[in-house]
Formats: sequence, structure tokens, C-alpha cells
Amino acid sequence: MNTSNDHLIKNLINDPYFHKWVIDPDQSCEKFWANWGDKNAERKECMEQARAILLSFEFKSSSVSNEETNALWAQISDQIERPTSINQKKLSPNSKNWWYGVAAAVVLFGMAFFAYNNEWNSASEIAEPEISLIEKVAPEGKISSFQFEDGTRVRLFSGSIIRYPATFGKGSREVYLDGEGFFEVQKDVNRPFIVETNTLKTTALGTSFNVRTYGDSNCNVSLVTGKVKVEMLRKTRGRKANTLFLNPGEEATMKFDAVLKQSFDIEETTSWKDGYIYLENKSFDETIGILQRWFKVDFVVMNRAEIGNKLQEKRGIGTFKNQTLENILKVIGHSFEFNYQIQEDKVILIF
Amino acid sequence: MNTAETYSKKVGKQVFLNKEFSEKIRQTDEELWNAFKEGSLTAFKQIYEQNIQSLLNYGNSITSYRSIASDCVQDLFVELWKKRSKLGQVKHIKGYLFTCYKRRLLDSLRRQKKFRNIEYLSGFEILLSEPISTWTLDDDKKASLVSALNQLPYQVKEALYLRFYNDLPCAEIGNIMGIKTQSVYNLISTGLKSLRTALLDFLHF
Repeated sequence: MNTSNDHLIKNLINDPYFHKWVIDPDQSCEKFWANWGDKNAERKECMEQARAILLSFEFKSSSVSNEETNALWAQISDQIERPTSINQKKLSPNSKNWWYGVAAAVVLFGMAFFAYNNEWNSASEIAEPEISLIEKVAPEGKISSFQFEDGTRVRLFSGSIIRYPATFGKGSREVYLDGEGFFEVQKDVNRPFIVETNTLKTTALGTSFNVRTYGDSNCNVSLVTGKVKVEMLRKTRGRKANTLFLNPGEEATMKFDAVLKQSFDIEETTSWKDGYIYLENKSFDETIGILQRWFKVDFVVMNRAEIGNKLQEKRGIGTFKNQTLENILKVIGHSFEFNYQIQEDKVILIF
Repeated sequence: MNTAETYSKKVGKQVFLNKEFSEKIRQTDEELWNAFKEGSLTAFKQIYEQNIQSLLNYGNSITSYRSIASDCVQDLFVELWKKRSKLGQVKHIKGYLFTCYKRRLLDSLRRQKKFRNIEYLSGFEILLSEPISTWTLDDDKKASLVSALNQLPYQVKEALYLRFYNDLPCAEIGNIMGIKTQSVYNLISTGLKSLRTALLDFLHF
């Protein structure tokens, strides 16, 4: 370090207005020091050093393990886990053919729609018996595997929520999903397995499929084996009931208040259930979206404007398993050419 | 090189937010809080995940009774969830949680008569971080510097801890400590001044 720099740093350390900038700057203070530092690179360097010196203390922190915080969360969710009551949409218990039940539900839905022009909650339903549901939440950053009493297996994506009755009814097996789940349904001809999300209702016998919700109105149902029926729960004014059947390899997507059928890549859609993060051929924005969902962190992108359209052409590579966010960033940072910095609850990407 | 990056390289854990950055966080804070108020368990969980480490750390700095510190966190979150629909707007979730948590923790310590006894106040212990500790300072000098810093009043250390270790704005720290924003500023200023004096004494540059 040369002497003139030493002198500058010392002056800064002694300057009360510089302290203000370090402690809690307002707009004019921020502006003043930005201007001051912009004059030349040496000044900027000195500001950084002076700031670092002023803040060269740390605090002893008691380390709290993840096990500890997870256990604490488990206790909290135990205490807040009141059984959620919702109206059971009963299918006829005597019905040999489950499609009758589904048809009945659709008719009922239609009636409710015409009568109230509203959602599924209608006055006629309140008289129906209520059942209490158990709620399970997949811990963040983990894939939870879970088996219902009928033998159906679900794998839940990090942070997803599933609600289900302690015992399934005689007419159907209904569960409610918020997030993403891969279902492998135990065959039971008399009781269809129904997965409901905010927007879509998926009915299956014995089959495996992936259901994914994101945002309030988006939902994908992707079928791997067997056959399922997908119907829309919410309707927009003047639209007909939207129902379709899926074959393996087909996917129902809720878009603009309608359900569309399209094909999907099985590996890409379902590899998460085995813990794989699939980033192959994804754009920068898609990649960030995926990592956000996996690691539940905020990404802040800096200097993006500077590289402009070049970013659109770049594609990510790789499928990751059991990798830390840092390792993944290392690899994709290479393809997208950014530097990163991981902080407690956010990640800064710098181009 | 980007300034934010340079700074945090120099000061290790401490993070300096530029304006655009802190606005983004505030915006998501409000959104997150509203989602939680509307009953989203996911939002609630997110609030927990984002703050649990800092809350427990703060609690363990106030008391060495770790079980009381974590019991209070648990009670706090259970009550938040139960009363969520009645809660007001919150702009700074972390600041709000710290304020509620401190009140609850002190009440509980008082009730259990574990407050007056000084041994249960573990305090905020200052250590030296990267830029200074890598400086050519021998161990003796480092030790005296650290002990000089730890002579600072409890309140000063708490304010420094909240501002620079937890990156809370002065207004929020005022709420947490039950004092005016200006007083927070004064406390931190005092802290930085002593630090500066100590540093200039030891570093001779």
C-alpha cells in the first residue's frame, strides 16, 4: 500500500460523514460518496478499505444446526396443524363403475356453476359430511417420499404440501396438492385416486403421473403410465367444462383458463423425483427458475443489461444429483459466464 | 469488479446492499407477509427458514439458556400463525420478528427469574474478522484489541450486532431496542469511534 493511499484511508476513517455512509446512508449521502468514489479508481479502493477496516469486527455466533432448526419446525407445525376441514365431495359409494361418480361430480359442478356462477363452494354442499385432513409438507431442499394407507406412493418436491384424510372413503381416494408430486397409484378399481390442485382435478385408477402447480393458476399433469382423466375445477364465464384423457407421454397444461394437451419429456419432467436437477438445454431464466424452486433462495442478477441479447442464445448443461448450490453455480456459471456470491438467503449473480 | 462483491470479500459475512437490491427485498417482504396472512403455509415456512438462524443466534446472544431461546422462537411462530389474519402490514419481516422475539424472550427470562443473574446474559462477543486478523498483528496485540472492543457498553455492542451482523436498518433496530432511530445511530457511531481509536492505536498507520 502506498503512502498517499494510507493517508486517504486514515482520513476516511476519521470522517464522520463517511461513518454515516457506513452506518445507515440516506440518499444524498449515498450520492455524495458514489460521486466521490467515481472520480478515480484509487479513491474507490480506499473507500472499500476504510469501510472494511471500520467493520473489521465480527460477532461470536452460536452455531445452530439444520437438524435443530428442522426439529423446531416440526414442533411448530405440530402445534399449528389443526385438522383442516373441507367439504368432502362424495362420489356415490355404491357405484360399481367409478366413471358414474365422476359424471355425477361433473353434473353437480355444472349445476353449481349455473346457480352461482362461482367456484365449487355452494350452499347445497355445506350439508355434506365433513372430513378432517392431515397435512404434510416436504422439507425445503428435500424430496419427501410418502406412502398412503392404500399403498399409493407419492414423492413430494421440496416445499410442496399435500393434504389427505387419515383413511380414504369408500367411493374414492382424494388428496389435495399444492406444489409438485409424483404419484404411483395402487390399483383399486372401486376407488379412483383423485389428486386435486387449485385448478385441476386428476382421476386415476392404477397409474403413475406427475402433478405440478406453480403460481395460483398454473398446473401440469404429466402421465407416465396408465390412463388418467383431467378436468378443470374452476371455470370462466361462458366456457364449457374442460375435460380430457391422457395417454402415457401426454401432459395436460392449464393455460389461460383452458386445459391443453401436449407431449412432454419424461426424463425432464420426472427426474426430480430421484433427486436430479435437470438443467440440460435450459435458458438462463429457466435455469434460475429451477434453482429457485430447488433451493428456495432469491437470485439477484447484476449487470445483466450489459451483456444484452447474448444471454438469450446461451444454454445450460448438465443434470445434477446431490450437489450443493455452489457446485451447480460453478458449472453453470461457466456456461452463462457469470460470477456468483452466495449469501444467507440470496444469491447474487454478476455478469 | 462489482462493489458489493468486493466489500463482502473484504468483510466476510457482512453484506452491503445497494439501493435497488434492498428495495427488491422489501418488495418481496411485503408480498411474502401478505401471502402468509392469507394462510399460505409455504410463505410461513419461508419466513421461518429465512429468519430462524438469525433469531436463534440473537436469542443465544441474549441468554445462555439455549432451551429458553428456542422455546420462545417456537411460541412466537405458533402464535404468529394463529393470529395471522389479525396481524398488520409488515414492511420488514426480519425487523418485526426480532422485535417480537426480544420482547417475548425477555418476558420469559424475567418470569423464570433468570434475567437478573448476569451469568445468564451471554452478551454480544466481538471477534476480529478477516481484514484485520490477516494484518501483521501479533497475537498479544490482537487479544488486547479484542478485549478493548469488548469493553464497549452492552447496548453499543447490541446495536453493532444488529446493524452489521444482521444487516438491519437503524429504524428497525430502534424498534427492537425500544429507542429512537437517532439513538441507534449514536450508539453505532460510538462503537465505530472506539473501534477506530483502538485500530489507530494498534495499527500505527
